Amino acid sequence: MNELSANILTEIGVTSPWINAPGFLGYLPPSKLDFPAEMGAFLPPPLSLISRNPAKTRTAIPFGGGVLLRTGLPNPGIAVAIRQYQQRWSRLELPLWLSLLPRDADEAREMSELVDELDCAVTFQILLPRGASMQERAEILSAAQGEKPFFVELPLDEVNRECVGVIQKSSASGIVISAPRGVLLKDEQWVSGRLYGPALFPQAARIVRELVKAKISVIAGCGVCTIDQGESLLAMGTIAVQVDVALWV
Amino acid sequence: MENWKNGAETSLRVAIPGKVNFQPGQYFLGITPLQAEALGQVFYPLEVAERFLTLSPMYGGKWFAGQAINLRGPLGNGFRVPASAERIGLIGYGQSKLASLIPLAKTFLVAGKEVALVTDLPVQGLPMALEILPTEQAAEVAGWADALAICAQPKDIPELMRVFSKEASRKSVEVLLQTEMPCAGVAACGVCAVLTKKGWQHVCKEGPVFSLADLVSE
Repeated sequence: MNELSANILTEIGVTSPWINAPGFLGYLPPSKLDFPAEMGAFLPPPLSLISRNPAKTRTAIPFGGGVLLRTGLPNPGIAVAIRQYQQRWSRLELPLWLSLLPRDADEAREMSELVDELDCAVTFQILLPRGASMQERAEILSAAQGEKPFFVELPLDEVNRECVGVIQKSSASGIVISAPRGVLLKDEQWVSGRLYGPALFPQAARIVRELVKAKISVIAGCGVCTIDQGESLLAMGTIAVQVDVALWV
Repeated sequence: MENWKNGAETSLRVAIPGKVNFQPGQYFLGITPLQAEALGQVFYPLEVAERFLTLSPMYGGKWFAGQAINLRGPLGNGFRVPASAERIGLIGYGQSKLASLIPLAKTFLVAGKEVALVTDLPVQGLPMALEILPTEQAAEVAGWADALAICAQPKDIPELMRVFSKEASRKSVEVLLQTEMPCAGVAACGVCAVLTKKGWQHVCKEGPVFSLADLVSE
């Protein structure tokens, strides 16, 4: 992993450790945000190489202290998104931080090259495909290496020694601990989706603490719903905090 | 905040600090401070009277008198029934909440127009001039009306397209889609995505009211 990680955010112009989680503020930042912290970067929704439709069974299911979201991560594909928003992204006051969803190493390489060509983007984070082998993950991370620093998104339920080891051996600048998956019953059907909300905070904090102890640059990307929670993780050593559903209320 | 019942649907009467205007069909996102839920709740506005806004929640919830609530809105696009329409048919489809149609009914009745509401749900406290009919008479009302305003759920779209295709090609037929809207227009998160002739749109932002002629069955 890149040794400059600790200072990487300052170097790429991210002046506040508070940033939005991808997919929680749309393709352009709102004119007014009620969340009581100044944002350091702007992340549009996750982008795939080719367009993705919404999930057939899209839904939001609340549970005590959180919500399960099943969306299918719909997006028009990275090339279309760049064509549609590039001009407005280039006028943003905040640095642009993309989030990529490659399915394999070839897609990771192609998407990384597109980010390199996009002057207004300072960095990106990459979500590895669920179920990919460690070998495939290593190949994707190798292919993602371009001119710009990047982070690896690791869902809370996928954090393990082996996976972290693969990321450490790559040129990634750090790990973003993101929303885990779960299942909940709705209309007598089990629905799978990503989990968000304050109920995740204790687990996220534990993982952040373990990674910080191991001297890994980590961004807390789930479970943070208040300034106090985020500040406590920043004091613990996380280099940034990505806020999700707290931006919607 | 006061909590009271209006027919089968619970309503909240909220004291508001300033003036609020809304178009029938628009919605509010409300969150109570210190609430355990991670998301806000969608409310349909029923009426504004003096310093009070009456709201109906899309889903059930627990509120108590005196409780504070933060409201964001009005959000989305409301009904655009043509001014020339003299007879308006309102249709509560399936298990959708009628609250979203009530302000529309009141607006047209005040304007001296004829309004009929089609529903099988129990209703109380509605204006006397509002004619209420069972769903078996929906086709009759659809033929009689100059314009139709329907509230339904996205799963009802294929059936609506089949039942009202003739009307949708001849007159204004608008559908207010009732579904979860967790981001309420902030993020285009996709939970409320609906397929239209213009591609995927969001109920929370481009809706919740759509022309039936613009909707496409998935």
